[in-house]
Amino acid sequence: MIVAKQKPIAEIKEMLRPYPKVLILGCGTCVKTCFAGGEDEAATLGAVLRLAFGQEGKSIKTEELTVERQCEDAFIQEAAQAVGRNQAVLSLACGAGVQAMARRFGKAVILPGVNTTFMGVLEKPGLFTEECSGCGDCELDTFGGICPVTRCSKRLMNGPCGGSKNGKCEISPDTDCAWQLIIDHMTALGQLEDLKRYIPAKDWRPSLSGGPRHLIREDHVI
Amino acid sequence: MVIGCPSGKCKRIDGNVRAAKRVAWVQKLLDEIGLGGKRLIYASGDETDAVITLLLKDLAGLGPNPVDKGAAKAK
Repeated sequence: MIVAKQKPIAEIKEMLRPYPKVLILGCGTCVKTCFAGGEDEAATLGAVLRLAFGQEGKSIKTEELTVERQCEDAFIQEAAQAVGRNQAVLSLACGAGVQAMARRFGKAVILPGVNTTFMGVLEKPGLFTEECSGCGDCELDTFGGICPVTRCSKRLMNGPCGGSKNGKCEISPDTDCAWQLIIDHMTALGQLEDLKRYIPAKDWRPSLSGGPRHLIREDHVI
Repeated sequence: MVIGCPSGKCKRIDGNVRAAKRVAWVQKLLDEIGLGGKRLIYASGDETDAVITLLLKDLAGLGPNPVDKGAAKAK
Protein backbone atom coordinates (compact mmCIF):
# COMPACT_ATOMS: atom_id res chain seq x y z
CA MET A 1 0.00 0.00 0.00
CA ILE A 2 0.96 3.65 -0.26
CA VAL A 3 1.71 4.92 3.23
CA ALA A 4 1.06 8.54 4.15
CA LYS A 5 1.04 10.69 7.23
CA GLN A 6 -1.33 13.54 7.95
CA LYS A 7 0.24 16.98 7.71
CA PRO A 8 0.57 19.01 10.93
CA ILE A 9 -2.67 20.79 11.80
CA ALA A 10 -0.91 24.19 11.76
CA GLU A 11 0.17 23.64 8.14
CA ILE A 12 -3.30 22.49 7.07
CA LYS A 13 -4.86 25.45 8.86
CA GLU A 14 -2.69 27.96 7.00
CA MET A 15 -3.52 26.33 3.66
CA LEU A 16 -7.24 26.55 4.42
CA ARG A 17 -7.26 30.05 5.90
CA PRO A 18 -8.51 31.75 2.69
CA TYR A 19 -11.33 29.21 2.27
CA PRO A 20 -14.22 29.27 4.79
CA LYS A 21 -16.06 26.39 3.10
CA VAL A 22 -14.00 23.27 2.57
CA LEU A 23 -14.54 19.71 1.41
CA ILE A 24 -12.35 17.25 3.29
CA LEU A 25 -12.08 14.36 0.87
CA GLY A 26 -10.89 11.04 2.22
CA CYS A 27 -9.59 8.15 0.17
CA GLY A 28 -10.87 4.71 1.11
CA THR A 29 -7.97 2.50 0.08
CA CYS A 30 -4.27 2.90 1.03
CA VAL A 31 -4.41 5.99 3.24
CA LYS A 32 -7.41 4.59 5.05
CA THR A 33 -5.44 1.47 5.93
CA CYS A 34 -2.56 3.52 7.34
CA PHE A 35 -4.92 5.77 9.34
CA ALA A 36 -4.01 8.94 7.45
CA GLY A 37 -6.98 9.72 5.23
CA GLY A 38 -10.04 7.47 5.46
CA GLU A 39 -13.56 8.26 6.70
CA ASP A 40 -12.50 8.40 10.35
CA GLU A 41 -9.57 10.71 9.70
CA ALA A 42 -11.69 13.02 7.50
CA ALA A 43 -14.32 13.31 10.25
CA THR A 44 -11.71 13.88 12.97
CA LEU A 45 -9.88 16.48 10.91
CA GLY A 46 -13.13 18.33 10.22
CA ALA A 47 -13.89 18.55 13.95
CA VAL A 48 -10.31 19.57 14.81
CA LEU A 49 -10.27 22.32 12.18
CA ARG A 50 -13.60 23.71 13.35
CA LEU A 51 -12.22 23.83 16.90
CA ALA A 52 -8.90 25.32 15.78
CA PHE A 53 -10.51 28.12 13.77
CA GLY A 54 -13.21 28.55 16.43
CA GLN A 55 -10.55 29.47 18.97
CA GLU A 56 -9.57 32.39 16.75
CA GLY A 57 -13.18 33.49 16.46
CA LYS A 58 -13.25 32.36 12.84
CA SER A 59 -15.65 29.86 11.47
CA ILE A 60 -14.98 27.23 8.87
CA LYS A 61 -17.62 25.02 7.35
CA THR A 62 -16.39 21.57 6.53
CA GLU A 63 -18.03 18.82 4.58
CA GLU A 64 -16.52 15.36 4.79
CA LEU A 65 -16.75 12.72 2.10
CA THR A 66 -14.69 9.64 1.29
CA VAL A 67 -14.46 7.97 -2.10
CA GLU A 68 -13.08 4.51 -2.73
CA ARG A 69 -9.99 5.75 -4.59
CA GLN A 70 -8.99 9.28 -5.55
CA CYS A 71 -6.46 8.01 -8.10
CA GLU A 72 -9.23 6.78 -10.43
CA ASP A 73 -11.52 9.06 -12.37
CA ALA A 74 -14.47 6.65 -12.06
CA PHE A 75 -14.40 7.00 -8.28
CA ILE A 76 -13.62 10.71 -7.95
CA GLN A 77 -16.61 11.51 -10.14
CA GLU A 78 -18.71 10.68 -7.06
CA ALA A 79 -17.26 13.78 -5.39
CA ALA A 80 -18.20 16.18 -8.22
CA GLN A 81 -21.22 17.77 -6.52
CA ALA A 82 -19.45 18.16 -3.19
CA VAL A 83 -16.45 19.73 -4.94
CA GLY A 84 -18.81 22.18 -6.65
CA ARG A 85 -20.44 23.41 -3.45
CA ASN A 86 -17.17 24.11 -1.58
CA GLN A 87 -14.44 26.72 -2.08
CA ALA A 88 -11.55 24.29 -1.73
CA VAL A 89 -10.88 20.59 -1.38
CA LEU A 90 -8.50 19.21 1.21
CA SER A 91 -7.56 15.87 -0.28
CA LEU A 92 -6.39 13.22 2.15
CA ALA A 93 -5.21 11.00 -0.70
CA CYS A 94 -1.62 10.29 -1.69
CA GLY A 95 0.10 12.59 -4.16
CA ALA A 96 -1.34 10.58 -7.06
CA GLY A 97 -4.87 11.10 -5.76
CA VAL A 98 -4.38 14.84 -5.20
CA GLN A 99 -3.12 15.22 -8.76
CA ALA A 100 -5.92 13.09 -10.22
CA MET A 101 -8.39 15.39 -8.43
CA ALA A 102 -6.65 18.51 -9.73
CA ARG A 103 -6.71 17.07 -13.25
CA ARG A 104 -10.38 16.07 -13.05
CA PHE A 105 -11.61 19.31 -11.45
CA GLY A 106 -9.54 21.91 -13.26
CA LYS A 107 -11.28 24.93 -11.73
CA ALA A 108 -11.26 23.69 -8.12
CA VAL A 109 -8.61 24.42 -5.51
CA ILE A 110 -7.21 21.03 -4.47
CA LEU A 111 -4.90 21.02 -1.44
CA PRO A 112 -2.88 18.13 0.04
CA GLY A 113 -3.75 17.06 3.57
CA VAL A 114 -1.18 14.30 3.91
CA ASN A 115 2.49 13.75 3.16
CA THR A 116 2.90 10.71 0.95
CA THR A 117 5.70 8.74 2.51
CA PHE A 118 6.44 5.35 0.96
CA MET A 119 5.20 2.05 -0.43
CA GLY A 120 5.09 -0.41 2.38
CA VAL A 121 3.32 -2.98 4.48
CA LEU A 122 1.65 -3.19 7.84
CA GLU A 123 4.36 -5.12 9.67
CA LYS A 124 2.42 -5.29 12.92
CA PRO A 125 -0.44 -3.24 14.38
CA GLY A 126 0.55 0.40 14.23
CA LEU A 127 3.87 -0.19 12.41
CA PHE A 128 4.21 0.47 8.69
CA THR A 129 7.51 -0.27 7.00
CA GLU A 130 8.92 0.68 3.61
CA GLU A 131 9.38 -2.30 1.32
CA CYS A 132 9.45 -1.06 -2.28
CA SER A 133 11.00 1.96 -4.00
CA GLY A 134 9.31 1.39 -7.35
CA CYS A 135 12.73 1.18 -9.05
CA GLY A 136 11.17 -0.22 -12.21
CA ASP A 137 13.36 -3.31 -12.40
CA CYS A 138 12.43 -5.80 -9.69
CA GLU A 139 15.17 -8.21 -8.66
CA LEU A 140 13.53 -9.74 -5.62
CA ASP A 141 14.04 -13.21 -7.12
CA THR A 142 17.78 -12.79 -6.62
CA PHE A 143 17.57 -11.67 -3.00
CA GLY A 144 15.14 -14.14 -1.46
CA GLY A 145 12.23 -11.70 -1.57
CA ILE A 146 14.00 -8.98 0.43
CA CYS A 147 14.75 -5.77 -1.43
CA PRO A 148 18.26 -4.33 -0.93
CA VAL A 149 17.35 -1.26 -3.01
CA THR A 150 14.74 -0.22 -0.45
CA ARG A 151 15.75 -1.89 2.76
CA CYS A 152 19.56 -1.61 2.70
CA SER A 153 20.46 1.90 3.82
CA LYS A 154 23.32 1.92 1.31
CA ARG A 155 21.28 0.26 -1.46
CA LEU A 156 24.03 -2.31 -1.84
CA MET A 157 23.41 -4.95 -4.49
CA ASN A 158 26.47 -6.93 -3.38
CA GLY A 159 26.28 -6.71 0.40
CA PRO A 160 26.70 -6.87 3.27
CA CYS A 161 28.79 -3.78 3.90
CA GLY A 162 30.34 -5.01 7.16
CA GLY A 163 28.87 -2.25 9.28
CA SER A 164 25.98 -4.18 10.78
CA LYS A 165 25.93 -5.37 14.37
CA ASN A 166 23.70 -8.09 15.78
CA GLY A 167 21.63 -8.00 12.61
CA LYS A 168 21.00 -4.27 12.85
CA CYS A 169 22.14 -1.55 10.47
CA GLU A 170 24.85 0.84 11.57
CA ILE A 171 22.60 3.82 10.82
CA SER A 172 20.21 2.83 13.62
CA PRO A 173 19.77 -0.02 16.08
CA ASP A 174 16.06 0.03 15.13
CA THR A 175 16.79 -0.78 11.49
CA ASP A 176 17.25 -4.35 10.41
CA CYS A 177 20.27 -5.05 8.21
CA ALA A 178 18.64 -6.02 4.91
CA TRP A 179 21.64 -8.13 3.99
CA GLN A 180 21.44 -10.07 7.23
CA LEU A 181 17.80 -10.78 6.37
CA ILE A 182 18.71 -11.76 2.82
CA ILE A 183 21.47 -14.14 3.97
CA ASP A 184 19.29 -15.68 6.67
CA HIS A 185 16.45 -16.21 4.22
CA MET A 186 18.66 -17.57 1.42
CA THR A 187 20.25 -19.94 3.96
CA ALA A 188 16.82 -21.16 5.02
CA LEU A 189 15.97 -21.73 1.34
CA GLY A 190 19.25 -23.61 0.80
CA GLN A 191 20.20 -21.05 -1.86
CA LEU A 192 23.01 -19.18 -0.13
CA GLU A 193 25.47 -20.23 -2.86
CA ASP A 194 23.45 -18.18 -5.35
CA LEU A 195 24.61 -15.00 -3.62
CA LYS A 196 28.18 -15.66 -4.76
CA ARG A 197 27.13 -14.41 -8.18
CA TYR A 198 28.27 -10.84 -8.79
CA ILE A 199 25.33 -8.50 -9.38
CA PRO A 200 26.23 -5.79 -11.90
CA ALA A 201 25.63 -2.12 -11.18
CA LYS A 202 21.93 -1.34 -11.18
CA ASP A 203 20.41 0.34 -14.19
CA TRP A 204 18.48 3.25 -12.68
CA ARG A 205 16.92 4.37 -15.96
CA PRO A 206 13.60 2.57 -15.31
CA SER A 207 13.39 4.42 -11.99
CA LEU A 208 12.37 8.04 -11.42
CA SER A 209 15.98 8.93 -12.31
CA GLY A 210 14.93 8.42 -15.94
CA GLY A 211 12.23 11.10 -15.63
CA PRO A 212 8.47 10.79 -14.98
CA ARG A 213 7.32 7.31 -15.93
CA HIS A 214 4.24 6.04 -17.66
CA LEU A 215 2.91 2.62 -18.52
CA ILE A 216 0.91 1.84 -21.62
CA ARG A 217 -1.17 -1.31 -21.93
CA GLU A 218 -2.03 -1.39 -25.62
CA ASP A 219 -4.68 -4.05 -25.06
CA HIS A 220 -6.61 -1.61 -22.85
CA VAL A 221 -6.17 1.51 -25.00
CA ILE A 222 -9.37 2.55 -26.77
CA MET B 1 -13.47 12.24 30.80
CA VAL B 2 -13.45 8.85 29.16
CA ILE B 3 -13.65 5.92 31.55
CA GLY B 4 -12.60 2.47 30.38
CA CYS B 5 -13.07 -0.94 31.92
CA PRO B 6 -10.68 -2.01 34.70
CA SER B 7 -7.33 -3.42 33.53
CA GLY B 8 -7.63 -6.97 32.21
CA LYS B 9 -11.41 -6.92 32.27
CA CYS B 10 -12.27 -5.74 28.77
CA LYS B 11 -14.83 -7.96 27.04
CA ARG B 12 -12.87 -7.35 23.82
CA ILE B 13 -9.55 -8.24 25.52
CA ASP B 14 -7.65 -5.02 24.84
CA GLY B 15 -10.40 -2.49 24.07
CA ASN B 16 -9.59 -0.46 27.18
CA VAL B 17 -5.89 -0.33 26.25
CA ARG B 18 -6.82 0.88 22.79
CA ALA B 19 -9.23 3.43 24.26
CA ALA B 20 -6.48 4.88 26.47
CA LYS B 21 -4.17 5.14 23.44
CA ARG B 22 -6.82 6.81 21.29
CA VAL B 23 -7.51 9.32 24.05
CA ALA B 24 -3.76 10.09 24.19
CA TRP B 25 -3.84 10.62 20.42
CA VAL B 26 -6.75 13.07 20.68
CA GLN B 27 -4.97 14.84 23.56
CA LYS B 28 -2.04 15.44 21.20
CA LEU B 29 -4.43 16.89 18.60
CA LEU B 30 -5.96 19.19 21.21
CA ASP B 31 -2.47 20.32 22.25
CA GLU B 32 -1.56 20.88 18.61
CA ILE B 33 -4.46 23.30 18.08
CA GLY B 34 -3.82 25.06 21.37
CA LEU B 35 -7.00 23.89 23.05
CA GLY B 36 -5.03 21.84 25.56
CA GLY B 37 -4.92 18.07 25.81
CA LYS B 38 -5.64 18.32 29.52
CA ARG B 39 -9.27 19.04 28.66
CA LEU B 40 -9.67 15.37 27.83
CA ILE B 41 -8.69 12.69 30.28
CA TYR B 42 -8.82 8.94 30.41
CA ALA B 43 -9.49 7.08 33.61
CA SER B 44 -9.41 3.36 34.13
CA GLY B 45 -12.32 1.65 35.84
CA ASP B 46 -9.77 0.63 38.51
CA GLU B 47 -9.68 4.16 39.87
CA THR B 48 -11.43 4.89 43.13
CA ASP B 49 -14.28 7.37 43.40
CA ALA B 50 -11.91 9.76 45.20
CA VAL B 51 -9.43 9.75 42.28
CA ILE B 52 -12.22 10.26 39.73
CA THR B 53 -13.58 13.17 41.78
CA LEU B 54 -10.09 14.69 41.90
CA LEU B 55 -9.65 14.33 38.13
CA LEU B 56 -13.02 15.95 37.51
CA LYS B 57 -12.04 18.79 39.82
CA ASP B 58 -8.84 19.28 37.74
CA LEU B 59 -10.97 19.43 34.60
CA ALA B 60 -13.31 22.02 36.11
CA GLY B 61 -10.26 24.09 37.10
CA LEU B 62 -9.30 24.53 33.42
CA GLY B 63 -12.02 27.14 33.00
CA PRO B 64 -14.42 27.76 30.14
CA ASN B 65 -14.00 26.36 26.66
CA PRO B 66 -11.80 28.81 24.69
CA VAL B 67 -13.68 27.94 21.51
CA ASP B 68 -16.84 29.44 23.03
CA LYS B 69 -14.80 32.55 23.83
CA GLY B 70 -13.66 32.72 20.20
CA ALA B 71 -17.21 32.31 18.95
CA ALA B 72 -18.39 35.10 21.25
CA LYS B 73 -15.56 37.32 19.93
CA ALA B 74 -16.70 36.61 16.37
CA LYS B 75 -20.22 37.82 17.22
